[in-house]
Amino acid sequence: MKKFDWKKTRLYKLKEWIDTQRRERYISLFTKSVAAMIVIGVLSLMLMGMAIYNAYQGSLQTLMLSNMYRTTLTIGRNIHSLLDEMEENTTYLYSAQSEDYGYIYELLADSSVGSDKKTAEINDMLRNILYRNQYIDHVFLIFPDGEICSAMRSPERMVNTYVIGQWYEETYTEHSRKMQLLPVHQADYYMGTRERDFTISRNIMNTSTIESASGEILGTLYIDISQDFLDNIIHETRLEDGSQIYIVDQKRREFAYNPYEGQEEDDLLSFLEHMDGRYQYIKAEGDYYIYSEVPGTDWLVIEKISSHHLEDSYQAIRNMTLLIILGSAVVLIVVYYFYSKRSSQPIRNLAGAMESIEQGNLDTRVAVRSNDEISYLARGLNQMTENLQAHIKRVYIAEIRQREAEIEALKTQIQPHYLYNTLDVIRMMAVTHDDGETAEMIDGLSGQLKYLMGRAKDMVSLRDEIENVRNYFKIIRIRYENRFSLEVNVGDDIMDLQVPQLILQPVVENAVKHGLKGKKGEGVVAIQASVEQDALEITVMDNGTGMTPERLEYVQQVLESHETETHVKSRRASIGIKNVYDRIRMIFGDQYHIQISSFEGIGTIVKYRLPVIRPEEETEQEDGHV
Amino acid sequence: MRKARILLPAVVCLLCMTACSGEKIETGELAEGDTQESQAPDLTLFFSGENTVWISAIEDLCSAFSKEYPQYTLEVEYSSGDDYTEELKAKEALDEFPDIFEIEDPYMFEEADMLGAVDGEIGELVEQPIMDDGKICALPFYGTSYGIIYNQVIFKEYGLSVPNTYGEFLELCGQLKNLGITPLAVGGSESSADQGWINYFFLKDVETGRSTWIQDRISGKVSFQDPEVTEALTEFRDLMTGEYVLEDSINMGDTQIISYMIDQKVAMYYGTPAMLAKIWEAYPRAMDSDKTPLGEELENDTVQIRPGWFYMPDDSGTRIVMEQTGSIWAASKACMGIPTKKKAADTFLKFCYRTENYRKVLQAMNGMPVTNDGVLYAAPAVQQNVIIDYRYADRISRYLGNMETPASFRGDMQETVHSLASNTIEVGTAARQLDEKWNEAEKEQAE
Repeated sequence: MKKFDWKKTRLYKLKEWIDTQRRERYISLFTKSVAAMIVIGVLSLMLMGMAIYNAYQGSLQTLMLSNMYRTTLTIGRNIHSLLDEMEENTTYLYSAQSEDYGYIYELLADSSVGSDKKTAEINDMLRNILYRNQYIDHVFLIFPDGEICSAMRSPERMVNTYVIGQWYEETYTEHSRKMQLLPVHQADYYMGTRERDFTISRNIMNTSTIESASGEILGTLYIDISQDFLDNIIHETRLEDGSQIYIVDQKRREFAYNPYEGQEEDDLLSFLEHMDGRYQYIKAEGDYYIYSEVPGTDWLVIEKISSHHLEDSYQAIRNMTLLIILGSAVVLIVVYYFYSKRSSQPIRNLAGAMESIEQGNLDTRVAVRSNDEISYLARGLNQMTENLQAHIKRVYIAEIRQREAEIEALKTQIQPHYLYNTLDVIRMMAVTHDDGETAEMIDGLSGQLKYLMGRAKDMVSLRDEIENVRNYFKIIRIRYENRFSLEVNVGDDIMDLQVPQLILQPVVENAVKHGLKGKKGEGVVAIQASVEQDALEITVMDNGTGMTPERLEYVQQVLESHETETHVKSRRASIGIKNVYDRIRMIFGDQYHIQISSFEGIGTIVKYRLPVIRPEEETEQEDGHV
Repeated sequence: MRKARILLPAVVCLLCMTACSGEKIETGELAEGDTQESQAPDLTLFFSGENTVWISAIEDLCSAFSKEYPQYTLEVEYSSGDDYTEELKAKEALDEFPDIFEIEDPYMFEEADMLGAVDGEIGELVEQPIMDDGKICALPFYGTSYGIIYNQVIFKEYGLSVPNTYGEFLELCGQLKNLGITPLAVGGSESSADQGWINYFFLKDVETGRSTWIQDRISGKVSFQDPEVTEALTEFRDLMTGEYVLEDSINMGDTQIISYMIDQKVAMYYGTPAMLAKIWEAYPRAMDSDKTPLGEELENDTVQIRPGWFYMPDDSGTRIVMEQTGSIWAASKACMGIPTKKKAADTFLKFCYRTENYRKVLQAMNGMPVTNDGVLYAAPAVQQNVIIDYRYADRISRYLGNMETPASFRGDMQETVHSLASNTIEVGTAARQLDEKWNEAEKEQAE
């Protein structure tokens, strides 16, 4: 069985690839902020818009359905008021009296009246009903024996007794004394008529006595009302586009009024059972049916509208809403883009400056305009760069000084072995010729050369440094015929303390050159050293000519300044002492230094203040400071 | 990957939506559904709309009832034509027979088994509930009676006094005639002649001699052509067509008669107390006293008429006080058969007879109380006297056209009496017609 290795699947590779892409892809803060703002802003705008639209759509739909419901109510009320009128019309026969024969039951019971006369009298009564309402087409009274009295508007038509008899049988309700409402039908019992009518019928009781008033039917009164009545009230109401009005007889489960001939609407009848009085509309098979009852009847006024028609009506509003949302989103994106760009500009400036500094361009500075976190960062960066620059400069200069000193020394190291050997030959020659002074001078020189060349170290023991000064002084003493002497007053315990190389010789040389040389009589250069307050203090004194206060100030200025002295005349001397001064401060810091005091005609004192570095600490100190 | 993340919820949503819009039929409710479905009223009330005062009295009564018993809805309707009973029958023919209704002919409806039994407790409220075989089938609402309304101003001016016998009455008429004042007007909506005078003579000449006359007529023992009846008819005809009656007043309306009386052209009218109210309404000064507040006679009394009232005396001086019911309430059998409706109907009837409500109706109709608890109401002195006299008089309810007489005879009788009073037929003819009509009405009722 092959072992499934997840790490070998393509999916894993894809994941890895995406992960690396993600890791590697640089996405600027600006892009992120724009994206975030768009997501937050546009998304919330969208959601809000959708919510408002939905709520609005819901209420709009309710509003429209309510409007349609009101339409059905209005139609229902109109029909109801007609029926109220018809109620009165059908009761008319109970109060109608013919002038000669009294009430209808009296007329019918009167055996002295011929049947033609009776028919004429009753037709008169029916005619009175006929002219009560313009929509009444026919009024007829059918007696149980099949006899018919009828009144109609001109042109008068013949009554088809067979058809009307059938109609009577179909619609006759034996025990009802209430008004009946019959659906719209073709009134074809009048020959040749094309009128469509709905009919009100009522059994007319014999009211001669109170018993017969409930038990004996004189005849059945029919009032045919033109469909135009319904057409007109429906046309008067403003229907929604695409909606259709039907009237359905709930009990008979058939259309009482359906002006849309030819359309199969059996569906509607099958929904009837759902249309109950607690609700005002149903939605079935994508169509809305809004309905209301015609008060006091089984008739239901139904307005049908397909849901897409309903929705069409508020589509414009939806489009508008979407357009507004879209417009707002675009405006939002543009505004966010520029805002983010503007607000991230300082950050990008910082990033640019950082990059430039990174590339070594330490003169780069960030312009600070605003006063916020960014400006705080910018100021910090500026300050940091400045500090860095200053620091680099200082370290660099110390290095240069060190090198300069070494070069100064090395200048004398040309062909050292050749020099040693030569010097040795010369010294032997001098010994051979009993020239002791020359031999000693050469020995001093040779010692100095050895010190400089053999020890390419930064730190040396105080002892070696003083030995070097002694070698130098051997030559000076002989040169100046023992006029100058060197006094070294250093305790043996501090002789092993470590000091930077070549810090005494330049000062001693200065003392000889500038102090003692111009002095008449004997000169002394004294070197003292002691440990005071955790510091090694070395004093080099001479009793030479000393310096004028101006000169002293100038020298001190030169020492303090970071610049290298370029004065031609005093170049050497200046290099010597300045070099020493700079090196001490560079290596040990500001608390260690050289102090010069000089009094004209008395002499000059150069005081070193150095850290106490014992031989075993030397390595450690070197690591720490160099 | 990312696309899939968006696609999945979308697909789920779509599935949900399609699942929701399945085949099922949704029903919906619209908030402002016009749900004020017209509930069937607890009680339907139907009453005669012949008299506007009566209509407003009953409407006031009903609205007071609805206010006090908001739990019962009352549908009130009154007749529009002039034949109330015919309309009541038509109501039945329309299958809209009312629950509580005014009734003119309780026995006819009782025979047709249309009336519900009224509880004894309610029946006790009135002096004489209408009974049939021990069942209280209807309740009289207020009583009325015929009497002479006369102008006291004329009587005072000429020193005339109220007659104590029929002979004195005729003398009084002669005196007035001599003074140039027509003594009597008939007609008006009170049916002064057709119901008032005819019965006065019937009671005076026939009933006093034979108190069972109407029953006897039903059993066929007597006839309108008997001598005592023809005498009564003759006396009636003589008075109506004689010189004491304002010419053609039988065809006049109330207002015309009242204006004659106010103008002091006519001194007397035989009518019901309702006429008093009509006079007061037409001539409010009629209620002004003829005395100053100190009891002295007014010097310049310009009031034209102050109505007075007396019941007509018979030949021997006995006052003849007809006891007529102004209105009768009944409840349908259907109504009394349904406990909830019966409760509402009982409540309504009790409410009607409760003194404070009853008083208002009486006051409006100037009716005589028919309750066991005598009810007095604020009315001018004359009216108070009418009520008191009525209460303590020997009232006779055995007049022609009362509940015992066959139903349709009442209307038919008026026709003949009217003709007689207009002198268009002879007494003999009238008597014969009345007999025929009685027989016919009996036959009709038997059917």
